Amino acid sequence: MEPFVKEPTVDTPQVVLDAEKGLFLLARMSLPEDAVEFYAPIIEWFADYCKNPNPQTILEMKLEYFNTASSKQLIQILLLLQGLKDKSDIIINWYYKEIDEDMQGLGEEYSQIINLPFNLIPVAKFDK
Amino acid sequence: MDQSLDFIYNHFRDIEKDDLEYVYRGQVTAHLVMNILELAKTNLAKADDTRKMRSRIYYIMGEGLQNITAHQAVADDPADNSAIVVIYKKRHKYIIATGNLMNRDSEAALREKLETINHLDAEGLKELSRETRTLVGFTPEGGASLGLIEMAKRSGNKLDYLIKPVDEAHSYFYLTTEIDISGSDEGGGKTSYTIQDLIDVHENFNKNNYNLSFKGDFDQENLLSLLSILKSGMSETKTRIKLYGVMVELLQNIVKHADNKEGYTGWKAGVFYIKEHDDRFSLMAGNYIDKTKASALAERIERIDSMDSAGLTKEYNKILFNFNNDPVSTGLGFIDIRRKSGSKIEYSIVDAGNGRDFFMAKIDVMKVD
Repeated sequence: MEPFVKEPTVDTPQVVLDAEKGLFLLARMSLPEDAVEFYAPIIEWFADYCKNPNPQTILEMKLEYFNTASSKQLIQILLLLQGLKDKSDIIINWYYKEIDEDMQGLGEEYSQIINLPFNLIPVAKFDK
Repeated sequence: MDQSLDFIYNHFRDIEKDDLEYVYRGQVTAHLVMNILELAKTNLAKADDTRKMRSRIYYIMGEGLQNITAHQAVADDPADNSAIVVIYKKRHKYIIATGNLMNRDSEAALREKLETINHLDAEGLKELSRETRTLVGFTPEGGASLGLIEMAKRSGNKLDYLIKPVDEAHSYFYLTTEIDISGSDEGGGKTSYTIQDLIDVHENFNKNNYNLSFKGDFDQENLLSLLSILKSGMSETKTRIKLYGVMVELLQNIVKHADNKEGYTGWKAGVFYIKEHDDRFSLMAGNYIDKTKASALAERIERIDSMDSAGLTKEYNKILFNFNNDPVSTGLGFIDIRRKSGSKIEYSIVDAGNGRDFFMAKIDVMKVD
């Protein structure tokens, strides 16, 4: 399937979704004015991917910040992957800045409400 | 409800379309200058009446701000070190007003420069600008002089200034430049923002420990500029991360839910302050809302304020899985604010006439570093 790639802006994340190369990345900032509109094609891409997934899917979540509007969209992506458990080995790598208690806390919460293996990975800072 | 918040509305109610008042108190770095200019640029591009003057206003602002970074001095008492920057637009006047600490031994030379500039007419300023340009490469002062000359030349107004002693070695240098965008001589009358106004704002900001205030149109672009200003004005700490998160939700709440001021369709006037205390920051915001929505909003905040941390988590998770996909409201904003800040949301709603109320909220973010 066609890769989905988006360069980051000040308020929207970097997105790299490439099934062939096995890359699934969301990075940087996510506080778009209209999160539903921004995430619609991304959720659609994942829905498509679910029809014929790779044996392994590692989602790299390297978001430095996401607003509440984005969180509702991200949870839909996580739920799609949760539904894929029997067809693909799913791992969520949840990166957060080590001083960022809020992103750490959200990672912990999401790992409890989503039935998928989460690796919570503290980093000193994100690569630019 | 918190009656003490009502000062926000009183400071705000006279706002008219395209008015802008932005005040920053703190260290002025090159990075911050860039962000303030970005904010100014966005708002210049939106105002209807500035089309011809945009690049000129932008240039004058740039000179005024760079003047601070090049010349601000450092005093022993950190309380005296903060510079003040005001960008103010009222009707057809644009004002850039700055204040910064300087060394007293440069005072006489600066005064002389300003007096020379203020005694020249347009032709004289052109001549002085040409002469100074040829010197810029040779003396460090050349650049600064040129900045001031260009500000006078391009604004078409005198540079209004005041030098106020602070201690043995330092003075405070206040400067205001006014740009008339009415394009007619009539508009060139009364000065709408005086040196005394600037000093009053500075004293008010010092006394109340405000770091920033913004009064104007709330849209995503202005929100992003204010966030950049927060980031460049403060090093990255746990506290800043929390402030950032609370600020996004608080201000996007205005961007999405504010009603326009009466008669100004599509212009979401709002106000925002950051105030610093010893142990915490207070974020305060205000905007118009439709009167019919006020009681539901008050009820919702009271309900969220009454929840403990377990209750907030439960509510957060419940709403997270409610995929109504309403692009305007996620229902999570205030819950997130409560969870990140650890404080209650203080609020006040006052009647603003003609079917509108004015909603004000205050959130304390504790310093955790």
